[in-house]
Amino acid sequence: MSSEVTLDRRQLIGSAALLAALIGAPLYIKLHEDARDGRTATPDQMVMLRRVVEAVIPRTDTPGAAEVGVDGFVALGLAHGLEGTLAPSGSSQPNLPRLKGRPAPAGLDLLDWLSEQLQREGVGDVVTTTDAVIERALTTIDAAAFAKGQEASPWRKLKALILLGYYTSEAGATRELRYELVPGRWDADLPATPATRGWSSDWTALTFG
Amino acid sequence: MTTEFDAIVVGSGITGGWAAKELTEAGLKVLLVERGRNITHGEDYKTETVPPWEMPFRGAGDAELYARDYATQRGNRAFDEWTQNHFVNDRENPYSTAPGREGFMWWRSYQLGGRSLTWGRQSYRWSDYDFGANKADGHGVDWPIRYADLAPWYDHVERFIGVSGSVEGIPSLPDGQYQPPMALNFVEKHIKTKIESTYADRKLVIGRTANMTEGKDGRSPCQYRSICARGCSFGAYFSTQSSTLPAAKVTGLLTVVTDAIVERVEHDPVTNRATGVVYYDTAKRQRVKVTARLVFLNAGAFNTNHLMLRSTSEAFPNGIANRSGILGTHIMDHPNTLSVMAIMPGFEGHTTFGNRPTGIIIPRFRNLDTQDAPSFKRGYFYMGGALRGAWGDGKREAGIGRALKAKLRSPQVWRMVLIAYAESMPRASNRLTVDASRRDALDQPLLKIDFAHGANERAAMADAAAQAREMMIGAGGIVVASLDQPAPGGTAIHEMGGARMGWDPATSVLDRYSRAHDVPNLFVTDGAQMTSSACQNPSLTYMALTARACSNAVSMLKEGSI
Repeated sequence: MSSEVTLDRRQLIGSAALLAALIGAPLYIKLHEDARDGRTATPDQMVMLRRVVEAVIPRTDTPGAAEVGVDGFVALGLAHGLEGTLAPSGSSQPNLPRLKGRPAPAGLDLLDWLSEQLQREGVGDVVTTTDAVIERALTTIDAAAFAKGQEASPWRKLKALILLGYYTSEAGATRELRYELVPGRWDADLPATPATRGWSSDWTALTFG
Repeated sequence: MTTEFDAIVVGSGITGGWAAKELTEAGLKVLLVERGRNITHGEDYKTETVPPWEMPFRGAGDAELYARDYATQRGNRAFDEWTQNHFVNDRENPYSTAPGREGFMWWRSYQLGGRSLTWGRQSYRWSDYDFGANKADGHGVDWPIRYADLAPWYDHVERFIGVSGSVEGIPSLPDGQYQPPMALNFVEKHIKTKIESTYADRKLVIGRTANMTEGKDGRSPCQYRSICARGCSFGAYFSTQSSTLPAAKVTGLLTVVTDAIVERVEHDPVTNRATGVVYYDTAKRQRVKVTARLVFLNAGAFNTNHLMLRSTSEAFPNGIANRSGILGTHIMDHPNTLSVMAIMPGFEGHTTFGNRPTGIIIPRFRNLDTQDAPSFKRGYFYMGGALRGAWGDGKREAGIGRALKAKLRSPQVWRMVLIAYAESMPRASNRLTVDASRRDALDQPLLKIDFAHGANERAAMADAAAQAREMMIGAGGIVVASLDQPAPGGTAIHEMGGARMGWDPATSVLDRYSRAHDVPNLFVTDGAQMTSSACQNPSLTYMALTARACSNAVSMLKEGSI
């Protein structure tokens, strides 16, 4: 039996915060260290992500994805490999768009891939560009990712994470959709109209992907 | 000889709970030994009512953690962030598989209540097509019992646990003592009509499930949440905690120890009796020896085999009650696969309310009175159902922005799935052994699983896929997926066999009362006792066999014959 001593993420954050308190250094050291460790997104990536999630699920008569913090959830999900993001995307499909000269992206590196795709579509500065420009670029990226043969596209995983984050948020689950933890009865046949809202509490999306 | 207990029951899952209940109700002083932690009904279902937005990973769970610690368990459909504490940590609970074979997904729950907390709850009787199968085609040894031996015990079990279902008069799937059935939804009714009007030999009926539609014994009827595996404070589905454990406790004759891993069954060569067990108390870090007049093994099929194989002595160098050398062989698990998934257009005007915790079944129709599918022996049946998709459909199609959000606001397309489960043939080459080269944290050798589905199982899966496609197309479905090969062994979570029942002590481990041929006070009443697998879910049969074995054990004890 061998035993290894490793610092986990919580310990790393803890030691960085302690260091920051001791020497009075600003707390971005922690963020920077974590980012270099591949564990959290950089501030620039977070700005991009906030624009992207809102473009995918915008504010309507209910909150949009940015308002409910889906950007943070996507970053967390990437760091922890949700929706298969720790497996390299597209490694078996050499014709997928990817960063030149680099291996297929996984985890938070998917954000580098996304950034390059946005630039390729002419987005420019994600801070100042208009919603329409971002939406147009994402529409192109999205259409390409759902073309035949692109099943392993990184965008499919990112989009899955965005939808997961939104529809499991309180607003997404209870205001955009309906949530009833204890239905108390089974009605086997009810009329549905185009105005009928779907359920977030039928669990099918979480159980079956 | 003076013993501390009348009976020791090893394992507190579906059958262990039943053994504890039946034996205490018969007046025996019983020790129930559970390897995992205590879980108190209700108060320990910590995640039961937590909404997704309050879960750290929104219910999807920490995939990085799962890859490291739950690499096998995460494949279970009931495994998610809410239920992960009801499954074992794979890294801490390793097992070996035979190199070059197909591997085995061993899904386990080490805690009070065992897999009764996470089970699929489908509750089917076996018929004489099943108990007579080995004798009819010569695979495996003959079952030493028939349906008539078990029918009253099925009645007893169904009445107590609460099974909802419909009375159908299907010869291969005998009717039982049912609470009112849950209803088919509109799409399932449509498909039922199409299938039953096209095929004289087929029926589509609601799944018979241990989710109650009427309250009983202080338990509430189902609330239609369909989050059973988190634990149900309503007690609406059968688990040890909701059902058998309170019944056993009320007798005042039950002692429960948790965090106690049984390492061996002790045997006295002079009297040829099991004298008790030695367990390791993982909380106090000490070994404890306990004695009893009866020992019941209910550790779960493979762990019961493992325990018996490890319980060696001069009298039993190859494992207790294993003079035959059969112990560990002829293990089975139902080959299963997604035979069809079809989109069902034209039903957009229909929806449902509530989450029904059971699906539909199409009972076995192949190779019953005639060999009408000559490419394989025995049969298969389908479980499945029609569901309307939800927001998850958005992951699989192009679209962003307001249009996407508007589309996902509504219920999505109806899909019908049929998942086939076929009979697993008993084969000597599918077997469990002790892997002397690898040891666990307690220095016990690991269990080694050597398993592969065979040509018969593959032929059954191929027929099931072809028939399922034909039925769905006939019902107006658009087939989007259809698999004709079985998923890996273990994925039915119906692993069984290894200590099979039989007439002959030379070719079987247990007699017709689930009692070891070689050790007259040792009983095995979990899945390990199975001689063949049928194709339908086995847990109800394990429970009925347990109740029957307990009754006989008590009679023998009172007569003084053991």
